Amino acid sequence: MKNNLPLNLLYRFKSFNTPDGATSLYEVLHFFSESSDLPEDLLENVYRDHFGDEYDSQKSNSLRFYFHSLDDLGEFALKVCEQVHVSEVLILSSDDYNLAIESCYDLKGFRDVFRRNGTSIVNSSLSSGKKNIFGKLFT
Amino acid sequence: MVFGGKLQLTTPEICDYDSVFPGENWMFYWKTSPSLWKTKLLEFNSVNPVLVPVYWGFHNESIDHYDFGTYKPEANLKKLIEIAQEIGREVILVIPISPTPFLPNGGVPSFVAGTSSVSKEGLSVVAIDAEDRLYKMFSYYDPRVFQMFRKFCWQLGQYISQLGIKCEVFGADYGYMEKGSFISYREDYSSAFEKGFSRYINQLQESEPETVNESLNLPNGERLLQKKFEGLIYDLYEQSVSETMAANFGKVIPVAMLGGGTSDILKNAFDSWEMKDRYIGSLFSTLIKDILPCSALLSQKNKKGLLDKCLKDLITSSFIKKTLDNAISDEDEAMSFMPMVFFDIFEKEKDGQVSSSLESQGLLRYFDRNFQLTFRFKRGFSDELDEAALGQVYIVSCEDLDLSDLSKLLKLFMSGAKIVLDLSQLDKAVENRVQQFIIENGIELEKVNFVTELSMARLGEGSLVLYRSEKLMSAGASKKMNFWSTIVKFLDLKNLKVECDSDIFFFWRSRGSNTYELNYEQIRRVSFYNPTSYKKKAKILTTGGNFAFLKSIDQTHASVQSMPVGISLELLPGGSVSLDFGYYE
Repeated sequence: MKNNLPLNLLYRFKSFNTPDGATSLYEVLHFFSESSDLPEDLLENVYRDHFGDEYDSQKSNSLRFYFHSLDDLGEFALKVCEQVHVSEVLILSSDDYNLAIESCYDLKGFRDVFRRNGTSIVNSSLSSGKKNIFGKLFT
Repeated sequence: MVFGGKLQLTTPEICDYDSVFPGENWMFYWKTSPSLWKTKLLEFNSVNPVLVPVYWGFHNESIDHYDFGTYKPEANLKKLIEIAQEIGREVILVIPISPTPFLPNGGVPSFVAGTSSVSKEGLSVVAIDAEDRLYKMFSYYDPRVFQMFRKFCWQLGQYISQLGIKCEVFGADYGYMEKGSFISYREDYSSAFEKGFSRYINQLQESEPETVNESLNLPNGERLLQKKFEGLIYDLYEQSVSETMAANFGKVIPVAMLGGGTSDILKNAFDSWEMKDRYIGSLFSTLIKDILPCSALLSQKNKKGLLDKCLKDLITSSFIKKTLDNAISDEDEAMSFMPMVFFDIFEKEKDGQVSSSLESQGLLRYFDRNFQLTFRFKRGFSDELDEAALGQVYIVSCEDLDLSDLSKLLKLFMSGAKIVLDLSQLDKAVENRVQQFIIENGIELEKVNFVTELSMARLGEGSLVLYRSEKLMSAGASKKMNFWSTIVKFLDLKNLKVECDSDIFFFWRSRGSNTYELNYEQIRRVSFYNPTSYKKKAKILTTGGNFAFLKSIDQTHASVQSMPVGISLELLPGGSVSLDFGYYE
């Protein structure tokens, strides 16, 4: 995976009624890098390892990866970033995506949707890692 | 080269993408001047028919203003059809009955484009065309859109009939392929759909309160009602076309736009994405399902290579005609290769997807291993079974099979079709009718207890297999494989076994034999494509008998070697080859 290209995560907020009452959650719709799909088993493993409870009930509903808070969603995105050694993930909600699309008229505008409207989470383990020769010279 | 008296030293760049003919015989007439229509049609290196999608918004720019060439010469459909006919081209007008992804606003006139279409995921539905323009799609459930559409169809119908335009008209249901299923752009979760649906429920509650309450009490009841409503609106759009252009109307064809799904669009946006094999699988799925694939959204960069070759190899004029249901009158066309389908599987749909029962029975796994891309799922019974082809296998595992569907199935069996029926799914009355049919016709059933209760019978060319799926579902994976293998053996299906490395695509087609091939009943062609960057191998085993290797064709970066057990292939990156086999009894 090219670590200079950010990952992109598109999610939606979903609320529905269950026998225990009303509930709401954040569901991952698309999670991809700018050069390839993220391996499904990698996402599954990160989800299972860090959000075991949700993972257990995942199969009882039709949702793939879901979270009870935005913090959890961000944590998941960051863990995936760390696994694939990518320096940044851009997170965008479906509502923001729909709003951004309104002012898009071509591919160029569409490409910038995540960068302009998404929330950036930086993988600090990678960004503060070893510096190259130029980095060392100029700090 | 001399241009305007100046010597130009650079070679002129050849533009291999033509925005007027973006692929698969589609012609976007509004993209060029009518003075160029004739030249373009003459240059167009393909055969009939030319598919002309009618751009509603182009002909109907404001309320009650319809233009068929009075103001804009590019809107003159009569002229286009006359020019085409003059040079021997057959034109088919295609009217959209769903949002059209390669048109601004999805084809809807801007004065009526009010509510954006929303996907199941809650995302605005958009498409990016081959020239990198982004088009938003608008809901067909907005009552104003329907009213304007109906008016437009009436105007177009009048235009066609009054000017005596002779051409066929088809409806198009545009969509895209997702995990092997066709998703129509009319599938919409927008506020326009929600409002329309609640009006429908209110009306239904007044006329049929019990039906509504019963449905809503079912676990997936609301979704079922939504599907019903969706179908109802779809029928209204179809009627608008069929009634106003009755003399010219053929039918509605599903058109799958390659690269038209949300996930495709998100990824297409980035240049770094590997595109090599993205659409070959989707393309193959459309072919066996009689869905017309269209690559108009893909840029030449994304199409070039193996995908382009697949499109040229497989989307032949005969295939387009067959999909449109035109009679194949030409002898040459009757001898063209068509996608080969052994099995039609009828199963109840759940939320637009085939339910998991056949998966639990191990059938899908068995087919994926042994009959890859030669089976397809069917939705409705009624029309399909009337048109059934003999020799085809019909696998039926659905609880909503009624007595009339059953009688069609049994009639097919009597006339030589092969039927596999899951008794566990049937209503008691329908099951009793099956038993009654067997007794009345003195059919001898061969009963075996193999994994589950299994009965098999033959009548002339026809075969009937009855089984109960409950026990099968709880059996182990290998037992399930053996079960289906036994059934297929009984059905006496003959096909060559293919063993190949992963990531290789292959596709079967067949045709009848010609006068030089009288030793064979049928000619079968298997085409292999290697979209990977690695050398790949494949084997076609001919040890089962009934097949003779005839020839290899279109060999590109591939080697073919005959072996005692069959044919061995080596495909270099981007390689492809087709092999012909004669099938004899």
